[in-house]
Amino acid sequence: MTSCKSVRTATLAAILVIGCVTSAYAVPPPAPWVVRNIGPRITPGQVDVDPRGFWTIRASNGDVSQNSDSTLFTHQKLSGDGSILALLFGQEGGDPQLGKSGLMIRADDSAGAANVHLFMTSGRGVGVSYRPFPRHFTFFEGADRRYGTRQFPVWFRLQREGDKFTPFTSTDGFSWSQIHSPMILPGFPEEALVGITASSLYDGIVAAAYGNVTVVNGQTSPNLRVCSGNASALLTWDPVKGAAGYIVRRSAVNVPGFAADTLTPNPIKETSFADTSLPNGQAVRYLVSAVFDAGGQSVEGWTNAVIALPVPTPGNLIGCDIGLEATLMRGGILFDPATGVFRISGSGGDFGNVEDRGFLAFQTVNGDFQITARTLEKTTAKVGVMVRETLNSGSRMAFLGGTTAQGVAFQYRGETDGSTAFTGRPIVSAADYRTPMLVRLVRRGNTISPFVSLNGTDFIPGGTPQTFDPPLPPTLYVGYAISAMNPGVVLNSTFSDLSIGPAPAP
Amino acid sequence: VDVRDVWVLRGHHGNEPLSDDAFFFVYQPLVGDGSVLAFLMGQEGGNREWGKAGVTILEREAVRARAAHLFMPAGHGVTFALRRSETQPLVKEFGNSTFGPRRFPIWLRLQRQGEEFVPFSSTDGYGWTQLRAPVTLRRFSQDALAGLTVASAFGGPVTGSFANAIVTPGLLSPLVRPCMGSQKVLLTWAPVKGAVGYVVRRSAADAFGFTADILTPTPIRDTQFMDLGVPNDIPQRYMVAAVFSQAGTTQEGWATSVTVAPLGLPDGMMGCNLSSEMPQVQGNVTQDLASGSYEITGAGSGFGGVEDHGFFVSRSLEGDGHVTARVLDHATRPGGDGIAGLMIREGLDAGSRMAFLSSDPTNGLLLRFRESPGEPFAPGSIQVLSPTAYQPPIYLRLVRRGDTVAPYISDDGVRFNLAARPRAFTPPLARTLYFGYAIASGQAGTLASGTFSDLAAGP
Repeated sequence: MTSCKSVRTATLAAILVIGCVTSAYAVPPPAPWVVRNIGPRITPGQVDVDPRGFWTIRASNGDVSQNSDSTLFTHQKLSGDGSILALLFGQEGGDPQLGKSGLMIRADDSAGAANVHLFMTSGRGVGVSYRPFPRHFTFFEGADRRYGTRQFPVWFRLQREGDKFTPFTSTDGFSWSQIHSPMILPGFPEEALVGITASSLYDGIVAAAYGNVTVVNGQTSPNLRVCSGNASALLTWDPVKGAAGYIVRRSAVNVPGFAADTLTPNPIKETSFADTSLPNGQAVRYLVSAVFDAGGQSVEGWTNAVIALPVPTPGNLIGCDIGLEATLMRGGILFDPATGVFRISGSGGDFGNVEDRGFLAFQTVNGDFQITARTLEKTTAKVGVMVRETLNSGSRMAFLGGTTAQGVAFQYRGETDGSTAFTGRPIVSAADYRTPMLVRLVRRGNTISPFVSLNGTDFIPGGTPQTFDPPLPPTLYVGYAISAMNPGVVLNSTFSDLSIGPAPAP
Repeated sequence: VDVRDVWVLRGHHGNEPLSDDAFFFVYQPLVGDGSVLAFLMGQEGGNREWGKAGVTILEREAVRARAAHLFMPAGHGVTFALRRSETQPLVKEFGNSTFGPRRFPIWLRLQRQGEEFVPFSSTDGYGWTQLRAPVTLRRFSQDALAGLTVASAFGGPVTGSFANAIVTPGLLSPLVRPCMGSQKVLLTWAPVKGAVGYVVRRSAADAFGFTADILTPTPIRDTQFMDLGVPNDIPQRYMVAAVFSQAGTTQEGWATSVTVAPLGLPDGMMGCNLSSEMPQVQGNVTQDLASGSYEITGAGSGFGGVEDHGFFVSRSLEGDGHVTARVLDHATRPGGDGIAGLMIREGLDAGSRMAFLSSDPTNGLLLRFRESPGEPFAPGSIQVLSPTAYQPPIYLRLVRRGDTVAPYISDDGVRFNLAARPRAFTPPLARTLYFGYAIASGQAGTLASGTFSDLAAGP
């Protein structure tokens, strides 16, 4: 045991040797854990585990970024699906902004290995990054309030299901909030490394303490979506591999997850759950978990927790976030009966490419229809009317709307999970984009036709009608949508005169 | 208990207000000294006021068994509860400002050392704050039960969620008393049973315990540690842990955490809490640089009985000496009076022999003595001035000559008059005594304040 400078006051010169330990009699993590300094480091990092199983980690090295990493990585193997989770008691030091420590799932222990990283930073809260391919650039969307503020203790969990990787956090260890949409890393090896990282970003020592470090095979939680409507909430999720059923719980948002009421006394087989007769204007939290059969014994997996806010609107619109990168940046819709104005809010990177990311307030409509709305406010967000086949982010869809930067355009995705395309882009240039503006989509059979009205009375084509092949299903999701064009913010816009009705005769 | 070692306890029991206990208790034996501790992640349900979850040491499995409980109730802050005998009801000590507010998560720990039980809490699991002075349960069974408790208090089901629930024999933590002087902090503690040494750490007050610097590269054998060169008025967090040798291996016990700031006192003087019932409520002294006067604050139920509870600013002097101060006002606390005055004592432990020239509005100026360590004050307090005659400001002085202590008063600080007959101590007083100014609020956990000036202690 030797003395060490405080992490808070350490200087580069003072940390040539990290000779300090938290507990005089702590030991390195036991097998199967392996302590590895990946990439360049200033001094070898140190990991101590005390008799309670508390981990204390110190490192003086670089970062997990760009196309090569420098991090202290204490790991073991995880074969197939599963999670690594831990209770982060605290993290301090290193670069004042981006010194970091957290959980990682990594293809191997080379410096440029593909990885997904969930971490706490010294100055900017929770962060998420991923490198989809070896030696590829690391995507880092920011560590800030979009994923959670800097507060302790906090539970972290990083889940793998096939090639999908999903980060979760929890304040109580029972209700896990998914903080990013699943990140897809194609070709990730079946046998991966899971563990705990620490990177100081070449600035002093970063230190962190963890408890309850756990690696679990399977028991994955569902990828959950929530939609809120008039006195109602609709939960939908993708089937979880190996699940024998699902349990749904509900509580007030400030109640710990362990005290939530069970809504499904027996696990259900369906992958959706509708809750009705809810008080409008009152947020409610749902926890959904999968149940697995493990050698004749029923085992419940980790929950996924979401918050719904039932609100009344004309036409009983239902609001859903679609494909958000930062899933805590929830959107919503409100209606002011006095003015007849809808206020819609949403986050997300964009509607476009292979995935849509934003918020949609919709009705389900069977057969041909016409939807019209008056956009009252142009913003940097993309707003307009939307038609979609499903609520999945890669669904076939058509959208007519605008942004201050791009003007008004008709955009569609003709193939599920395919790229979007524009017709006649833009119909109204950014310079000519004025609000209020009426926007309209008409479905006739498998064809969606866009229209705009610049004078509030007369409609002109808003682009080339798009005929979908294979045919569209009879029922589509039809409504008004917003994307903030930035996954780290929630933006607002307003519209009025929403009408959804039968398509007029051609 | 799930794969992470997270526990969920659900109970639907009584406990309030009957004299018999009714609670759900998950326990294991605790033989002799040790602790039960857990990370309480949340508690919900049960009675809105007294549904609860926490840790317990129980003498035996019986509805009126003697017990110490430390728990978080639904409607109050952290609560310590005690059943001293099987014929007495459970007594609770609580309040948001007493042991901490209701908040989660929080670490709770109950420590037993012999017949003494001490509650601790922690925010980070590394530094443990002693919440209260030890309570004694005489002849408590060596074979006790220690574990986790939930009780609904007849208010519907209650749920508590815990992590890291541990019962550890031994590994006791020291009961650390800090004293603060100018640019220095003195930590003292009673020897811990079985300890082979002690480790002292320090960090900023708001830093995590795991980032603290180790001040004792090798464990020390002393039961005190002086930290020098520490900036005045900037709080520092100290953690002191005992080191044990068990079955050939060395283990560090739970660390006791105290947060204190060095005080801008005259050279040689230090301020110490004398066995405060609530160690986290520290006294303080600040000097008004313009007037040169000092404001002193201190908590504690008072001086007398077998133990003193208050705050004491003093310096040690060998041989004959005096302490003098000009008392500027009556000490007060919220809603009442405090007690303050000059004190000479043999040691800084709570039951030390001492002489106290105390003032308060009800009793005026009194001279009192503890003639034997750990015994109540000697009978017959000497009233130096009646309540009506005692009107601050006034100069007070206590003088030690040999084994005799004599009180003096003065209006001008120049001419001092003997105020009462000197008292001789037998057996003889120690060569070194502590000379200073003391204050107590009369209430544990509540601070009283008073002002004085011209403090001097010397030959």
